[in-house]
Amino acid sequence: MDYFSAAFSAALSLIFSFDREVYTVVWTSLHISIVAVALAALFGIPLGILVVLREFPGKRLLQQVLNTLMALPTVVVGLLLYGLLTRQGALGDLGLLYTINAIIIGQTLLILPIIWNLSIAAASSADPRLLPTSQALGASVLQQGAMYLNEVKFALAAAMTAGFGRAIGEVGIAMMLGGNIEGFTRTMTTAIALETSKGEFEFALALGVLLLAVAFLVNFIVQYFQSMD
Amino acid sequence: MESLYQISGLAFSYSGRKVLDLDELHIARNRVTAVVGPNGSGKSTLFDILAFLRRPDAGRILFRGSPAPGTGSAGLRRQVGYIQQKPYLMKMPVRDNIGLGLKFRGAARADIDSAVNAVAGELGLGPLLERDAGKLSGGEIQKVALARALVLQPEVVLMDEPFTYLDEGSLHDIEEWIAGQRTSREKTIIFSTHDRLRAQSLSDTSFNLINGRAYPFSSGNLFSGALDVNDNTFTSGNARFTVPESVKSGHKLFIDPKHLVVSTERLSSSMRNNFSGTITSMSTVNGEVHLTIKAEVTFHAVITRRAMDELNLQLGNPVWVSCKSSQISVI
Repeated sequence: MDYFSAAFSAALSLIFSFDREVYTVVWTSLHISIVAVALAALFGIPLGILVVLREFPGKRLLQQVLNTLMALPTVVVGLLLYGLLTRQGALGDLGLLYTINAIIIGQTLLILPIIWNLSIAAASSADPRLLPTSQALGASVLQQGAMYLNEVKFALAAAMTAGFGRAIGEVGIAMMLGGNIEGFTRTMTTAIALETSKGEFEFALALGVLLLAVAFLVNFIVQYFQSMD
Repeated sequence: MESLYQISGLAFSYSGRKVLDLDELHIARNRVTAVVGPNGSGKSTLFDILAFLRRPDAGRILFRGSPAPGTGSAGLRRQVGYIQQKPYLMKMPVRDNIGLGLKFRGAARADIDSAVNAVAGELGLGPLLERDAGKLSGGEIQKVALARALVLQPEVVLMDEPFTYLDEGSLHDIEEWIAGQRTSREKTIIFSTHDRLRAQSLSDTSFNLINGRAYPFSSGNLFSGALDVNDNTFTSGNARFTVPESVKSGHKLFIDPKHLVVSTERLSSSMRNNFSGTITSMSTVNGEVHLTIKAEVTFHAVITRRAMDELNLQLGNPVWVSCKSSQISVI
């Protein structure tokens, strides 16, 4: 127990002394996850609203697939993308493997089904009179989508926050596609795994505490947005 | 009179159940038309189709003499102002709600503001403009929805059950507005209601919509009851009607008020439906006399002024009401 409390105390001191190494890792993680959420939202939210606005064959199947993909194992995404991005892979010439961009692509694909699916749920929760009212006022399909964005903006923000929570806490993609390169592609989760195995428990614990704080904040934001709707 | 809508052979079904079945229906341009029917009679579905929000399963709609392509056309929908039953206001201030349709049309902010101010002034909504739409009463919502439709200066205004959920003041305002439109004859107004008297007093023409079918307007003579196919009778309360042999099902009986024959003595004719009763109300509408006759059920009959004079009918007189079984529809 002494070992743990000593480590915890050292971890807090790293956090409150604004240790450069710790915060470089934190910033890398935040940067990757924020960009991944923005990209996934860019596609996921319009697609989610479109699914609600339009009837098409295979709509139920699509939603079942999205439900399944919400629990997509991160290592599977990492593995598949590794196969594509490695030198011998189809996209190997792009030289993306072991870069931040590779992790961003992986996390975007990981959370796209989450944001897409939660956007469908958000748009479906809108008042059923919203669509006929918008149509009766002469809204084009794009304008109808904009009305949904306005009406369920808090639920959509909650969807984005949930996606961010998944991205910031994942380790498989960051490890396999980023390579855990110090000062470059090292994220909070990969650093925790590495530093623990190296015996640098204080450093890992400091990052763990910060990761927990981020998770807590994300959860708080999701609940806030849900209470606004 | 020029028709704005000409509908023929129109049908619409929900999960296999036919909710609209209109052989022929013409709606006059620049007149007020009332659609009268009980809940579930297909009024809202008909209005959705007239607003080009739903595509009928079959049939043809001519709008201003040209075939309407059905739904999917924002251009066509933009010519119709539609105030749905229980209108929905967006989560934004009243001003933005009223100007929304203009915004969809790409109007400039200044033009939207002046148009919104003008229509709000006309409907007495000025004090509400900056309020959050979520904090309005039922009557205020109805008026904001009307303003939101009118600001677009549509050729036709569809109002689905505009009088429900209204307080006395708002009810009066909406009635006044429709009455004003009836006088000015600048727009086509179509409203639905289940209130026959209100329909009659506010509209130029009306029709009944019952189980998705249109019937000539009557201010009465729609009775619920049970059909007996063995002896071709329909019983509603204490009244027993003889119906055509061809009738095999139905739970509502309808008689056009003009098909009722009113006499002071029982007629010795082939008419098999004869009821004795008392005149409880008399009024003259467009030169015709509308009678309410309390018998086993309450009948509404429409007779000519001359017939009334010949029969010397007075309020409280005992009379006979008769009709042929062939004049009876069972729905």
